Amino acid sequence: MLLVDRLLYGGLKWVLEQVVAAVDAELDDEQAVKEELLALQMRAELGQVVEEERAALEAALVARLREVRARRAARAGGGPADGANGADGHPEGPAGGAVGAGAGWRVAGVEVTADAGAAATADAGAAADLPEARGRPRPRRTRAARRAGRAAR
Amino acid sequence: MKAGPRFLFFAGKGGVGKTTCAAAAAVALAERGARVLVVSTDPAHSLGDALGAKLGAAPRRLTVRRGALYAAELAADPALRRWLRARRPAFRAVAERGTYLDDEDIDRLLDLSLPGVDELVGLVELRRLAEGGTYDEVVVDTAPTGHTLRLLRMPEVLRRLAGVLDDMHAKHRYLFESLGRGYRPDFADEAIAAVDEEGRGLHELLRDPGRCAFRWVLLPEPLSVAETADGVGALAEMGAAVEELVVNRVTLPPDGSCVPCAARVRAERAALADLRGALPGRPVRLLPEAEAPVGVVGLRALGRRLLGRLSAAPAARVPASAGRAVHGGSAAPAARAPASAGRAVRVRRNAQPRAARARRAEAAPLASQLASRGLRLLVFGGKGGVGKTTCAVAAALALADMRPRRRVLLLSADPAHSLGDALDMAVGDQVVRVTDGSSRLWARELDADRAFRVRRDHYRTAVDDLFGSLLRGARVDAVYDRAVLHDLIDLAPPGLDELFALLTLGEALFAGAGRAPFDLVVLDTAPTGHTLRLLELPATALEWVHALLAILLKYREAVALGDLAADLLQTARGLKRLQALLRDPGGARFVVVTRAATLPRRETERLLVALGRLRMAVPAVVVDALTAGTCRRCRRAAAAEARELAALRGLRSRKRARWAMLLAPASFPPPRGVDALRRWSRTWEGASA
Repeated sequence: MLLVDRLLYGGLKWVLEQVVAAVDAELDDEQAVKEELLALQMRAELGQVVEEERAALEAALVARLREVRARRAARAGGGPADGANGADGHPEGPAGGAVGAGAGWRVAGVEVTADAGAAATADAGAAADLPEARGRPRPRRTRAARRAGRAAR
Repeated sequence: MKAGPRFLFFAGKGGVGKTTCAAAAAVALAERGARVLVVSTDPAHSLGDALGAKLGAAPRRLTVRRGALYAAELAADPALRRWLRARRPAFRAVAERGTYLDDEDIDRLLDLSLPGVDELVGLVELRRLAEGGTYDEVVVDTAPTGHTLRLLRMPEVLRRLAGVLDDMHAKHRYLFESLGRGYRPDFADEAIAAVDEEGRGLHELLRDPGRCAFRWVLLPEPLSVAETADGVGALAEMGAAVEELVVNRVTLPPDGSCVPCAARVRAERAALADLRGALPGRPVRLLPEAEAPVGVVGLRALGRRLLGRLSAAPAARVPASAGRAVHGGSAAPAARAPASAGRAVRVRRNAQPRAARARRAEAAPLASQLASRGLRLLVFGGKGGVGKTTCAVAAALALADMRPRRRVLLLSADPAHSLGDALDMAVGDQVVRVTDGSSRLWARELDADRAFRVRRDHYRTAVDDLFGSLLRGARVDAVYDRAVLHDLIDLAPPGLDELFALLTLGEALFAGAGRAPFDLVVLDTAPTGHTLRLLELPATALEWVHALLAILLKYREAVALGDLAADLLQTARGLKRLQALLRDPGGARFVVVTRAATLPRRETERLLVALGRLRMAVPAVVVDALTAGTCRRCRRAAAAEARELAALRGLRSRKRARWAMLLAPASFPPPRGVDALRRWSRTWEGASA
């Protein structure tokens, strides 16, 4: 019995550790994408990338950042669904909150929004690649997040 | 042959007559039979003007009756290049051995120009010049107070630099020895020791009363006295001795009755009493008001006066009439009611309170002369002591009064601040509100040292990480790295005042994303030379920021970019916006303040040329402190001023310039406090033209 208990306990612990590791990895992922964004802006400042290239790369990175955050939001929303009694699809709910926490697109002190705004004056076409970063402070709720919200209801 | 020449420094606030005194003392010393070198270390040189000769970086011999007189105006940039060139291989080797930086990085950093270069190499170059000839005396005409104090702190900076280099190299030595090969000091070690020795030598020289003496020059005015007390205190703290205080341009009592002269004499007596109270026991030498002499012949008499023996009791040197009974510290009320102060104010039907409306109408003529559509930055500059601060405060008040919704910041970037003195209120590094509700004016005296410390502490971890990753072999021995790190971080860059003035301007005018904290900044600057350095600085600072960004990018595998990179990026953008603003003739304008006298007028001419080169718009030249008395002396002074004004007008038409000439009357005592400053600025002439 003791052995079974230990196995069960060990197994559970292993699973939980895997979950934690996955979340950590995604957080690391997000950090990495932010760093990429910052590096891109630094290269643009130094004139190492041309404007169109910068806009394209930035759009790709912002999309990746969104993806990472959506995955995390899905996990946060889809995990302890029973406990999330207030999650009724309102943006301020736990699922939305998880996304919203980073919704200002703060990249280690640099506002992508501010940058996109500055770019908008210089090159409206380039900035158009970043509709959310510029106009909307809070990213649209992803399909995963909506699902999570429904599950909570 | 003696061990070396004796140095005599003339220090003090700008425009008090340091240059004339230094030149005159040099002439007199030479004509006593000595071999004398006189050097100016102020980036806005006027030594040539005083001596009536064209001077350059190499000492030029001038004709004197006896002895020998050489004169030079220090050129900082070539001096720094020369100094660096001789040490470059060694610095390169140390950086290459002690850090992760490669040749390309090191060369890039070594090739950058430095803010604060004048202070950094001033003493080193001074000594090089002094040792280049067999001089008995070296007379030094220094930059105005704040920058002179920085100059005198440079020996410590040199020694700290040597400390950083030595720590970097210590690791190299350690590695060498731990590999079992005995370490033998090479050229890099010698160069480090030489830098340390240079710093130590200069440090000792400045503190050896046998080899180095200071004379503090001031005017019998409250602002000048307040700055003298601070400056002499700072020198004493450093261990340097001020052998005497030279009070220049002391007014003698008028022959007959002359209201302005009498008020002036009273105000000066009060200021002298304050001086003696603040610095008791210091020898004080008084020089009577006279037109500044020019040329060796003209300077001769003043030189003898300056070197003549002072009697033991300083009070006895006060000209009999000027110094007799000194009345209490309280100054007489402003003696003259300005003619236009009582001018009827047109009443407009308006919901504003009456006082604010009146102020607005009265402020309009002056403010509209200075303002422009989209004005964000109004810089006040000019030779030291011409009244920049007082004029800047008066103009800031007028601009704030004219448009009550405009949020105006009055910022002082002169390390020797006097905003608080002019406003007669406590002003510090925190922004304080100056006016009541109807107009919105704030003031701040920038403390660059504090700003540097705040920023450094904020990014300490990031900077630690960065430097940690740049330093090679962190695993070998963390002790060396940590030592280098802390030395590096504490090594405040020279040119700190200009650098942080720039960053503060950026923060005040351009917020990251939202609304900027201020609509308009009125900047009270350090005297000419350093103001020009400030205006040139955005380009230099941007080069540094770009160099650091490039290095961060290059080593991003080793160190996360983090807050520091983000901040540098933000700074780069701020600098570019500031550069764009400075080039926008509607957005940034420069008001030149001067006096109707020969030396200030010549410096003004050079300043206007420099501003033209920098493409700065100049809406007005304010000629301050014009004589308005009725006695014979006042009339003579007014006639001399009229000649200078004519010369300025001639300059304006020759250059086809459009600046307005605003004439500000002398006021004794100088206006202090918001109300007095408002009244005073309404007496300016030319504002309505």
